[in-house]
Amino acid sequence: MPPPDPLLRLVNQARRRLWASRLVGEVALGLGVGASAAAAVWGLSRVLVVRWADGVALTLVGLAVASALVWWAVNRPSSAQAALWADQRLGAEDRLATAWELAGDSRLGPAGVRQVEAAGRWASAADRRGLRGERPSGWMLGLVGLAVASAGMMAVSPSVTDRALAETRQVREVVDREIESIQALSEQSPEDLSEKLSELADRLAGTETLEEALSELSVARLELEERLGPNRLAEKTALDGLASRLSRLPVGEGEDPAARLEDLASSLGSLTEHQMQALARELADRASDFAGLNDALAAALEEAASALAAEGLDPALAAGALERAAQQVSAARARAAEASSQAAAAAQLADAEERLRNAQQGGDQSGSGQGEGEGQGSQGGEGDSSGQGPGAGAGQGEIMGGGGGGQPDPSDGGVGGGQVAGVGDDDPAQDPAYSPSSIFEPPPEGLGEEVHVPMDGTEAGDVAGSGVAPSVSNLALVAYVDRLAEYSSAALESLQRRPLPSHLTEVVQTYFTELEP
Amino acid sequence: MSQETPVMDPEGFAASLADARAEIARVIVGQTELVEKVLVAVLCEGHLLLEGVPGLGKTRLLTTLGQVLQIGFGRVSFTPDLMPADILGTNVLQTGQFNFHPGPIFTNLVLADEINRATPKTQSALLEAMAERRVTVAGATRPLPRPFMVMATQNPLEMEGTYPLPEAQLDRFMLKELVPFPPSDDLVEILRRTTGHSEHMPAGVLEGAHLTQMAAMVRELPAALHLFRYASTLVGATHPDSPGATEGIRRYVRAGASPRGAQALILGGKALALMDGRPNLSASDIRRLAHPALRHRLVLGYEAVVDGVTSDGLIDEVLEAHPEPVAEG
Repeated sequence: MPPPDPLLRLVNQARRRLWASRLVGEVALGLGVGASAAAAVWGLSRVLVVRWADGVALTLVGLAVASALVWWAVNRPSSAQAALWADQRLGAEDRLATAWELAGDSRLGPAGVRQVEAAGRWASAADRRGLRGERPSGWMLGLVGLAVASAGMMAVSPSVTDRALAETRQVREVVDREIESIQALSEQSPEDLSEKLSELADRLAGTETLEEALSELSVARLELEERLGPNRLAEKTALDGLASRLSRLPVGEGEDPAARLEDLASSLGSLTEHQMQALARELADRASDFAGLNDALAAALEEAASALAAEGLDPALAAGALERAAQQVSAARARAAEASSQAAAAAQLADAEERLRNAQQGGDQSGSGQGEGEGQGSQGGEGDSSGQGPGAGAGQGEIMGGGGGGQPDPSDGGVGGGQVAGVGDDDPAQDPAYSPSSIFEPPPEGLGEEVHVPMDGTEAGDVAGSGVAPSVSNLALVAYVDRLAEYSSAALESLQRRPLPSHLTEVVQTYFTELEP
Repeated sequence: MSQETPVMDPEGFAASLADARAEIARVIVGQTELVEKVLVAVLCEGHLLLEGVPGLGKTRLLTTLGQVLQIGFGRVSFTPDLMPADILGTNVLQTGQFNFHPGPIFTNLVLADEINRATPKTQSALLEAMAERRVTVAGATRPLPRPFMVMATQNPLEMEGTYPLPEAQLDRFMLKELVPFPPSDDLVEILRRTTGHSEHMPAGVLEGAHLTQMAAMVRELPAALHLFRYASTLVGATHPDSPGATEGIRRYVRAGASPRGAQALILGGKALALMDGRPNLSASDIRRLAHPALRHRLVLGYEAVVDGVTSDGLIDEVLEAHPEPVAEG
C-alpha cells in the first residue's frame, strides 16, 4: 500500500532537513580534518624549511572540504533513514520507520495496514518543529575550531620556512632585475650575442637558487670572454690607438680612421712633404701595433707608409695603398665593434655576478673588503715598465684598487691595459677603524729613484721576453684611452676631495700626464 | 499476517491488560516491573523463571495471575524426591486396563515451585513439555492444553541440596526475572493487607479465549527490519568472540545468549508495545527486555564469580555499547 500522504510529507520533510543538517556536519568535519592536516604541515614548516608548506596546507584544506561536500552530495539520506530520524526527533517510538517499511510490503496484513494508517494519523497530528536541523555537537565544533585556530596560528606566525621563502623572494627579485638588464642589453646587442643573452635570461628565469643563478652567469661570462680572445681585444685597442693618433694629425678628415685614410687618399696632393713623412711614420708605427693581431691591416698600413715615404712619390700607388688600408681598418672596426659588444656584455655579466654575490651575503659585507686580482706580466724586468693585467677588487671606501697600465714596447707586442672593478658602499670616514694617520704618506724625499728599463734587451737580465707576447689572457674590455681619461678624471676629482700631501698630489698628476698616449 | 484478524486494537489491548494489572495490584503490592514481565511472558506464551529469596510473593503472584486470567492453574512443589511421573502423570491399572492419570502439568499455567530442588531427572521431565508443549508417557505422546506456560521459582540462597538448572533448560525459559525485596512503603502496605482477618480474593478479568486472541495479536504486531537487526546485534554482542562484544563480555562470558534470546527480545518487545497501546515494536521495548531475556542465557566464567561480576552488569555494558539505532543528523 502507498504510504499515507501525511506520512509521505513528513518523511520527505525529514529527509530534506536531515540532508541539510548533515551538510553543516560534513563541512565542519572536512574543515576540521583539513585544518588539522594543514596545521601539521605548517607545524613541520616551523622546524624545517618546507617550501611547499603553504600550497600543500591550503590544498589539504580545500580537498578536505571539497571531499566533505562531495560525500554529502552523494550520500543523500534515504527515506527509511529519514523516517528513523523523524522517529527520534519527534519521539515516535519507531512508528514512522516501521510504517514506512511496511508500506513497501506488498503482502501487508491487516495488522500492518492498521499500523501504517495509525502512523499516517500520527504524522498528520505531529508537531513538526522537532524536525529542525540539528547543529553538530559542541565537542565536534570545539575540535574543529581548535584545528582551525591552530592552523591559523601556524600559518600567520613566522617560521623558518617563511624566512627562507622571504630570502628566496629577495633573491628572486635580484635575479629578476638582472634578467631585465640582460634582456635590455640583449635588445641592443648584435643578433648572435642577443640570442645568447636571451638564452641566458631564460636560464636565469628557471633558476631557483642564487647559486644556480651565479653559476649560469659565470658560465655565460666565461663563454663570452673565451669568444673574445686576447687578439681581438688587442686589435680593438690598437684600432683605438690608430684612431686617436690619426685624429691628432693635422691632415685628413673623417669621423673614424677609415674615413680619414680615405680622405687622405683622395687629398694626397694637398699634403706637404713634411706632412707626408709624418703620416708615413705614424702609419708605420701603427702598423707595428697590428703585427700579429691583424696581419692584413698591418701589411696595408706598412704598404701605405712605404708608399708615402718612398722617394718620388707615386700618388696613385700611395692613394691605392691608403684606400686598401682604409678598407682593412673598416673591416677591423666592424669586428672590433662586435668584440666591444661582447666585452660590454661580459663586463655587465661580471657586474651582475658581483651584485648577486652581494645579495647572497645579505649586505653583511659592507665595510669589509673583498678583492681578487689577477695580473700577469709579459716582461721580467723590474720597475714599472711592463706590468699589465686586469684587477678586480671589491675595495673598502673609495676605489683603492687599480690595474696596472703598461706601456708596451712595440717590439714585444705587449698590450697594456687594466681594469678596476671597485665596489664599496661606505665612506671610510664612517669606519670606526678610520683615522687620518692610516693614510699612506710616502717619505718626503719622494718615491725613490725611478728606474727605466730598456725594452730592447740591451741590458742582460733585464728583459726576459722578446717578440710577440702570447701571454695576454685578460685584456682590456674598454679602450685604453677612454679608461685612462676616466681614471685620470676620477683621480683628479679625488685629489680635490681628500687632504693629501702636496708632493703626493703632484705625483698623481704626473703619473697620469705621463700615461697619456 | 495472513491469519484471522484479531478484533482487538492496541488501545483495547492495553486497556484489557491494564484491568488485569489493576486486579493483580489489589493482591500484589508494588512489583510493577515484575508483574509487567510476568504478563509479557503470558502474552507470549513463554515460560518464566522467578528468582528471589523466600517470602517475596513469587508464588502468590503466580496464583493470583491464574485467577485473574481465569486459566487452568497447577502447582508443583519441587522436592528432591519428586519423580517425573509425579509431574507428567502415569498409567494406572483400573478395571483390567491401564488408564492415564494426567499429572499437574496438564493445565495452562504450571507453577514449578523451588524448581532447583528437584533432581535433574525430574527437571528434565519438563524439557519436552516446555519446548514442544506435549508429554510422552509410556510411549504415548499427549499434547498439553494451550496456552501452556511454566512459571518456575527458585531460591538463590539455599544452595545446599539443590540442583542448578542446566543451560539447556534455562534457555527454555523466555524470561528470568529477579524478585527484589519490596521498598519500605510497599512492605508497610503488604503488612496492612496480610495481617488482618480477610484478604482480597482476585477476580477474573480475562478469559482463556481472550488471552489466546491477545497472544495472536502480539505475534502479528509489525516490526521494522532495523529492530530485528538491533535485537540480533545485542544478542550477538553477548558472545565473547563477536566483533561487537565488549571488554567485559570477552573477559567474563564463556557462552553468549542463544537465538531464543533474540526471539524473546522481539516477541516480548511486541507485548510491551501493545501493553503500552502502541501499534508497533520499538527499540526501547527491546532494551527494556534485555535483562530478563538475556541474563539467564549468559554462561559466566569463574573470573566473573571471583570479580563479583553479574550478568546484569554485563548486559548493561552491552546496552551502553550498542545504543538504539539512529540516523545521524
